[in-house]
Amino acid sequence: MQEWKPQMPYPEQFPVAMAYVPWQRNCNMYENLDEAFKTGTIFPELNKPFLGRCVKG
Amino acid sequence: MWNYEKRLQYPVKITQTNPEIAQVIISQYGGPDGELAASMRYLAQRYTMPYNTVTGVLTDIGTEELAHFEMICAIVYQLTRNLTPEEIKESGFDKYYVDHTLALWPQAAGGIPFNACEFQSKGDVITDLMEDMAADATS
Amino acid sequence: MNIGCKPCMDSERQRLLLEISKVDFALKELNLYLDTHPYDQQGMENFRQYNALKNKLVKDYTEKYGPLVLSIVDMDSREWKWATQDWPWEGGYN
Repeated sequence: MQEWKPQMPYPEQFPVAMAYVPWQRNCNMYENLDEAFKTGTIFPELNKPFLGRCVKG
Repeated sequence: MWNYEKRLQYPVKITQTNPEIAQVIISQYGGPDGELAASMRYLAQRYTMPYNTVTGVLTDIGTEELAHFEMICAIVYQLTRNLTPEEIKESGFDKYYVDHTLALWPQAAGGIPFNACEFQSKGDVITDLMEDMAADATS
Repeated sequence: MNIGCKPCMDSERQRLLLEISKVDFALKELNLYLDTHPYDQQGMENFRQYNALKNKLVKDYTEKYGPLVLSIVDMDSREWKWATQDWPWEGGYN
């Protein structure tokens, strides 16, 4: 089976003056689908609630 | 090609009309950061995307955005259902009503019609993905 | 003005439709995840399970209440419910 790796996993390999988005690391899901449905994502890793001026870290 | 599922992605059940709020929410349908622009952006950009996996993302998100503007339309539709002439006039909805009655028409809250200048499609991977992120971060 | 609800569906119908929406939402999210992680075995297994569950729920719903997709319709019925039943934005439906 083919091994799938993000093309540039390490920050030191990133050229300057470009913009990057880190890869989603895993597919851990909320166990409760109700919670996921209301939250707007099934991945806790992607849960970034809008707080008006900044997002939770 | 596409298939339709006869349901909304998330339920919309509004019991109280409110044409003032409808005039603001309609921007999420046909405004510069609306769902229609989002859908058209992804679905336009995918043809020149050189990676199959990324083309998959654009296709599948572009499809999901169609379901999003269907929900927005349902909200606006239910907020303006069966308005009386008095309610239309008092709420300021008359300026929309004169051209579109209670029909759905893609426009921004300020009345600017939807147009393709709301998004970009350049055939460059980084440029197009940056555009997608900039747009999606706003809505 | 209170326009009231369209004739509301019975609660069992609403519950089943909501269940389909929740499962389909999980499928949509896994779909997007797998697009960029196409060899993730756990993701694919999760997709398989939810897909089977969704197909079963849609079949149940169609038999009891009417079609949600044209690929699963009740052809024993004498009525083309796809067109005669309310559309989803009417509010009482979903």
